[in-house]
Parts: sequence; C-alpha cells; structure tokens
Amino acid sequence: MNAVSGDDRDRTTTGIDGFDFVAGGGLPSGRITLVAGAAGTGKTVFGLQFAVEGGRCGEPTVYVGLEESPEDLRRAASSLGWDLDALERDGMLAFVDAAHRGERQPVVTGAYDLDGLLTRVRAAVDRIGARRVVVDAVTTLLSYLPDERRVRWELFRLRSELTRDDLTTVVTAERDRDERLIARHGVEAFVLDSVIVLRNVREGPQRQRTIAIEKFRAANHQQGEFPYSIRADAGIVVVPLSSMVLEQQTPTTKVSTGVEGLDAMCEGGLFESSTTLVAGETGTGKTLTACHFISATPEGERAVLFGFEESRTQVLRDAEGWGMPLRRHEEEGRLELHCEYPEVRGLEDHLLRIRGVVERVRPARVAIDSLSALQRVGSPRAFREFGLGVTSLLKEFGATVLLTAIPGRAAGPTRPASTGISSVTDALILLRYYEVPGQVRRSLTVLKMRGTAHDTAVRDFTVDGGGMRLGESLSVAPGGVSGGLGSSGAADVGTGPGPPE
Amino acid sequence: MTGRGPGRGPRRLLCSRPVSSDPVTVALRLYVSDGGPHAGVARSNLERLLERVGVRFDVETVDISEDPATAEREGVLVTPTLERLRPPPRLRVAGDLTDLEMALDGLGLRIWALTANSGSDDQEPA
Repeated sequence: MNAVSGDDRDRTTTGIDGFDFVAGGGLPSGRITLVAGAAGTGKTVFGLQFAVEGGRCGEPTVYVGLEESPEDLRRAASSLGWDLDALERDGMLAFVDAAHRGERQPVVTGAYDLDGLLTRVRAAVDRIGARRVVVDAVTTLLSYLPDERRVRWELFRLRSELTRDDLTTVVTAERDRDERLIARHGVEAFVLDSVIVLRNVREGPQRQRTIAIEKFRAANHQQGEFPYSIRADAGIVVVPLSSMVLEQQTPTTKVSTGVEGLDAMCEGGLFESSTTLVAGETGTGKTLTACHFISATPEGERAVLFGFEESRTQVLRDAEGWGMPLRRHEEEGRLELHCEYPEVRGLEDHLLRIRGVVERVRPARVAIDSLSALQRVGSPRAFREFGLGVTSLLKEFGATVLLTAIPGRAAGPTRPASTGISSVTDALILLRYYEVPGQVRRSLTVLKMRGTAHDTAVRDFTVDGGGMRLGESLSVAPGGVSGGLGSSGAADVGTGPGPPE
Repeated sequence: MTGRGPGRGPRRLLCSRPVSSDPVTVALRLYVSDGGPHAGVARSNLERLLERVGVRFDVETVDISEDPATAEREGVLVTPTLERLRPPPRLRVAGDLTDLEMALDGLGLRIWALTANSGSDDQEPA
C-alpha cells in the first residue's frame, strides 16, 4: 500500500522528513530495523513517528513499550502534535504495556522465558491486524535474562514472531557511550537486516545530532551521517546533505550581481542557481555586496537575506544609505529579511529554519551574511556539515546564492582545516584592504568562476550613496595590511588556491 | 480477545489446611504459558510450595496463551510468574519455582512457612 518501490524490495515510509529520502524510500518492508542510540537521541520519537505514519497510511501499529507506560508515550506524542488516542480509537494503534511496574526486579526462582511478552504481542497484532511493530527498547529485555545465550534465544523467538506475518518492525536499542552495548549482547546479530544509529555528540558548546544508516539489507540508500533535529511540530527532521548536488544541470543563464562593472568581470554575471562565496575581512564590503545582489533581484522574483551579523534595522539603514530599495522590496513582498543572532539555535536548527523559509518563499536569490558568524555556534565538523547542507539545499531549490565569509586569519593554527565549502562553491570573490601611501583602500578580485573566463584583475573600489563603485585595475599586487589573502586567507574558508601575497 | 467464552474464568484450586487460630488466606495467581516448557514444572513446584506454608490458600492459574488479555492487563512479561494477590503487598516471583526458598522469600510467605521437618517429607532444595 504505502510501500515505495526500491531497488530490490519494497520500502515502508517512516514519515520522518528527509529520512525516507536518504533511505531510498523508507525502511525495508517485512524486515526488522534496529534504531540504536544513547539516551536522549530520540529513539522513542523515531518509534512514535513510525507509528503515526502507519496510522496516516492505513497500516496499524503495535507499540511494545518496555520503558515507558502508554500514558507517558501518549503525553510525549502529544507534545509533538500527535494524537495517539485518536489512532487507538481508529484501530490504528495498540500498546503492549511492558514497562516494568514495580520498584524491584522480581525474584527469580528457576527457569522462565518471555512467553508472556510474545503472547501479548501476538494477540495485539492479531487484534488490530497490525502491519507495523515498534519494540522500544529491546535492551530493557536484557535485564530479564540471565546470560547471553538466553538473550540470543529470546531475541530469536521475538524475531520469528515479528517476521512471521511480514511485519515491518522498528526495534530501538540503547547504546552506551562507547557504542559497544549492542554488539556485546548480540542484538546486532539478531537484527542483521538494517541498523540505524542516532548520535548526539557534544562538540564544544553545541550538540550535534546525526543519523546514519550503518547497515541496510536493501542497498539503495545514501551513505554518511546526516544532521537531524527534533522539532515540537514535526518530530524528527533529517537534513539530506549532498542529496541533489550532483544532479544539477549545467546552468547557462547569467544573472546580475547588482554591482556595476562586476557583471562584466564575470562575463555577464553569475550563473543562475550557482553559489558564490564573497570572502573578506570585517569592513571590506561583504554586506554591501550581498545587498547589491539581493537588491538586483528582477521584478516578479523573490529574494531572501539571512543576516547573522547585523540587525534587520541596521541592514535596512545600510541599504538605504547605499541607495538600495530593500525596504520597498520587503513591503512589496519581493524580499524577506531574516536577521538573528547565530547563538539562538544550533546549526542544524538554523539549517532547518533556512529550509523552512526557502520552501515557503521559493526565492530566486538567497544571500547569507555571514557564514563565519555561524561558525561560532558549532564545532568545525558541524559547521562543515552545515555549509554543505545549506549549499546543497539551496541548489535543490534552484536559487542563485551568495554567501559571505571572513577568511578567518585570526583563528591562527587552531582554525579548521577546511570548511569543505569549496567543493560546492561555483565562484569566489575576494574583498581586501590594501595600503597606498597615507591611505587604506579596498579591492575586489574574482578569484574563481566555474565555466567562465573571468577577469582576473584586482580592482580598486569605493563606496558612496550609490553603493560599490569599481575603479581601476591595480597593476601591482597590493600589499595587504589586513589582506586575508594567501595561505592564511582565502584558503581558510575552503576556497582553494589563492594568489601569492 | 477472541476464542474465549464469557463464562470461563481462571481455574481455581482451593487448598485449605486446618491451622488453628490463623484466619489468614493467601491468594496467589500463577501465570503460565501452557505451550511452554516451564508450565508443568511450575505447577508441580507450586504444589510443593503450598505444602510448606501453614495457611489457607486461594490459588488461580492463568494460561496466558488462552488469555492474553489478562496478561496484558496485569503486565506479565515472563512466564511462569507467581503473584501474591492478598494479603497486600502484591509481590511477584519469576521462574518455575524450582528454588522454593527463594519463592517463599520473594512472596513474603516465610512467616507462615512450616519448618522443614514438621510437615511434609524433608526435601533437598533443588
């Protein structure tokens, strides 16, 4: 019914935004998938979401709760906007309440098995005609069983019970910090079909949640770890990273940068749906360039500016000073300004919010000013994933993108090796300070532009009431006082080789 | 929910023992899965247990393979499970009762236990 055709077998959707895409359509139907993670990674949310999706597409679910009572689960689901009561009333959901009720473990007086649990699962499956089962969390069963041999035996029986009727099952398992728990108890061997691992790693001040498909019986899925978030209105949301990047068609149309003279340097402008990185130290004109780009959005198309350095008021005031009608564009609904402090949320939440806006607005142009501000709120790895995620996301929607960044010279030897953005950036524009006797001036260089024989000149520029004014080519390479060029400069934001200083 | 007539309750076994001046009746419930390997052992071990305790018993047996609804309502995970229903507190022991001493302690029945050689044949704990 709801199964999506995969390469070799059908899939059952999880309802987890982004995950089904990454997994090639969903979980392998009629099989058992292990969802493993430490406490607090959202294993139960995964299970609940799988059950809610079952209800949505007419596939009843039996939820075997070994850790939390049905009441607790209903409450947890309700806080995510899911009405389990309604699903139960409609015969789409039945609980097997297997949470330990007493305070003490029962005294053991001899041999026993888990027939009690298996019988109840079987009865519930038969009663509602279940197509899906969630066992949350299977590791709790270990405490009832004396040794590994018994664990494997009981899990084998549970497995037989679940696969008998071609049920698609999610089994959650708690992993300890060293991620060894499962292997130690042979749980992994029991659910050989598929293993999904949820991680919640604290890197620096921020948490980084990732989901990875570590083993999948059906081969057709994406490799790697994908950031996810748990949202109050949607449950787990997974962000596919490089999902679409390779499938982009080669662009041919050029669009204006909004800076007079710069289009000519780029043989007519930026390629439509391309990503351009504008790198420069503080005050070199990154926000200015971004505003030019946004303000040049043709009538009938829309633009979004995500600002992480200045307030909305500040951006509008700056733009007014440069003679750009951003305020009017905003009033006319052609432009949305989203300015906030980077610290208000984690990187994956920033990414999801950006996606939300882009999905809604469908802008032709997007500017992010600046990526470097976001670097503050995550680990180097998280930031790299964010960079890749945001560029692939915006490409997916066909937007022409301008990102700004500080080369990050100040970071010194501790700076991240590479943000990895270079691989998905189509063009690189460098803004620098340079010094002439008695004066510090600014220059612009187009360092890289894919598919274009661009002008490699270093151009002086000034800023006035009309914005950026490009001036002459500088015949001699400028000596940077705060250049950010060379090895510690452009390369720092992952932009590839820069000219020697 | 299917296959059970409304009139059939759990099987009851009333085992009364004339013990003067002790009006206590201990109510026990044994959950077994009759298809499983442990049910028979548990039943016979329960008989041995009853002989060790000098009070009136009210014992019912629930075969969960016939009555999964009761197992669900009572939250039974492992079988066999023996539960003390009355007098409070409700207590449970898991397993086929091979270790009678553990069962007596686990159900809090030690205070009514007859000494090993005062009643039935002296038996080695298995």
